[in-house]
Amino acid sequence: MQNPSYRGSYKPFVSPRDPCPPITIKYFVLPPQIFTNFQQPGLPQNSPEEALMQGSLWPKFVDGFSREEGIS
Amino acid sequence: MNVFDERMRLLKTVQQMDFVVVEWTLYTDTHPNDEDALEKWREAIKNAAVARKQYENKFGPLSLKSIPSRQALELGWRWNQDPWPWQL
Amino acid sequence: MWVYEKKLLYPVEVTTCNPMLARYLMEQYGGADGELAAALRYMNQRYTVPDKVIGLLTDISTEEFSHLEMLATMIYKLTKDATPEQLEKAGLGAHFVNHGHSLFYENAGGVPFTATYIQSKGDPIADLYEDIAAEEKARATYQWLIDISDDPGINDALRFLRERENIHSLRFREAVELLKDERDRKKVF
Repeated sequence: MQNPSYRGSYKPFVSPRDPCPPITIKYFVLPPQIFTNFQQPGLPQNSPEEALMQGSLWPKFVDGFSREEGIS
Repeated sequence: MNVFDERMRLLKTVQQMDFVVVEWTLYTDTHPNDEDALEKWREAIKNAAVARKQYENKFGPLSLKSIPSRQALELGWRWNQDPWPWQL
Repeated sequence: MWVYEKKLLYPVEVTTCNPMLARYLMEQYGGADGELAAALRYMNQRYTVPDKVIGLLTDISTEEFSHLEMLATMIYKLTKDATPEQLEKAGLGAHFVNHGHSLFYENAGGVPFTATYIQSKGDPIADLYEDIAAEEKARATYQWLIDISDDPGINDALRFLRERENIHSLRFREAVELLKDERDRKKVF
C-alpha cells in the first residue's frame, strides 16, 4: 500500500454459507483530494520529471494505486 | 544515441514541461490571486517554449503555431508525415 | 477553436499484443465514465456556468481529449496486428465484423457511446457535483483496470490517468468553494 492514510477498511459480515473463501478485511480508497476543499497556496512541488511521472505537480495529492494492495 | 532515442528523449522533455504548464493553469483557474503561482505559471510557459524549440529544431513543428524552418522543409519535413503520436 | 499538438500528453508504451486488455480499456474510451463522456460533458456545461469557472471547465475538457488520445493509442497498439482469431478469442469478434481493426466509441461490453451518459442541468452546483462524481467514478474504473491488466506499460499510463482524476476532482471541488464565496454578498453592479 502506497499511502495507508488514503485508505479505509472495514470487516464485512461473513456467513458460514458464503461460497467463496471469505475476505475478512475489505479495503477501499479515500483519495487525498477529499480531505481538502481548497488547495492551500505554496505547497511543495515536484520537479517537472517527477510531476509527469506521478501525474501531479503536488506530491500531496498523489496516493498511487497498485494491484498488490488487494483492494478489489 | 540513435535518432529515435534522441527524438523520444527530447519529446519527453517537452511533455514534462508542458505538463507543468497544464498543472499551473488548472491551479490558477481556481487561484486567480495567487501572485507567486502566477509567476511560476509564467516561468513554466517560458520553460516549455525552450524545450519545444529544442525538439522542433531537430524534428519539425509539433503544432501549426510553430514556424517551420526553411531547412526542415528543404530536408523534406512535412506536417502530414508519420509518425503520428499513436504510432510511435 | 483548437489546435492539434502532434504529441501525447504522457508517453504511452505498450509492451504486449493483448486484444483482451484493449477490450477492457474501451470502458474508458467510450464508456459512461470514460474520457469521451468527460470531455463532452465539461465542454457543453461551460457555456452556462458562472464566469469564474468557465476557464476551469474549458481547460479540463481540453485535457480530457488528450486522455482520450492516450486511450486510443493503447487500444490501437494492443490490437494493431492481432489476427481475427485473436480478436475473437478476446471477445472482440462482434467488434471485428462491424468495425474491422478500427476503434469505436463503445464500452468494454460493446455498448456504443450515448449522450445519455452525460448531463447538463444549467444549475452550477448540480453540474459541478456531477463532474466531481464523474472524476471519482473514472478513478475507480482506472483502479479496476490496473487490477486486471498485467502490461507494465499500460499500467504506468493508467496510474498517470488515475492521478489526473484526483487533481480534476480537487479542482471541481474548489470551483464549488468559489461559488460559495458569492453567497449573500451585497453587490453593486
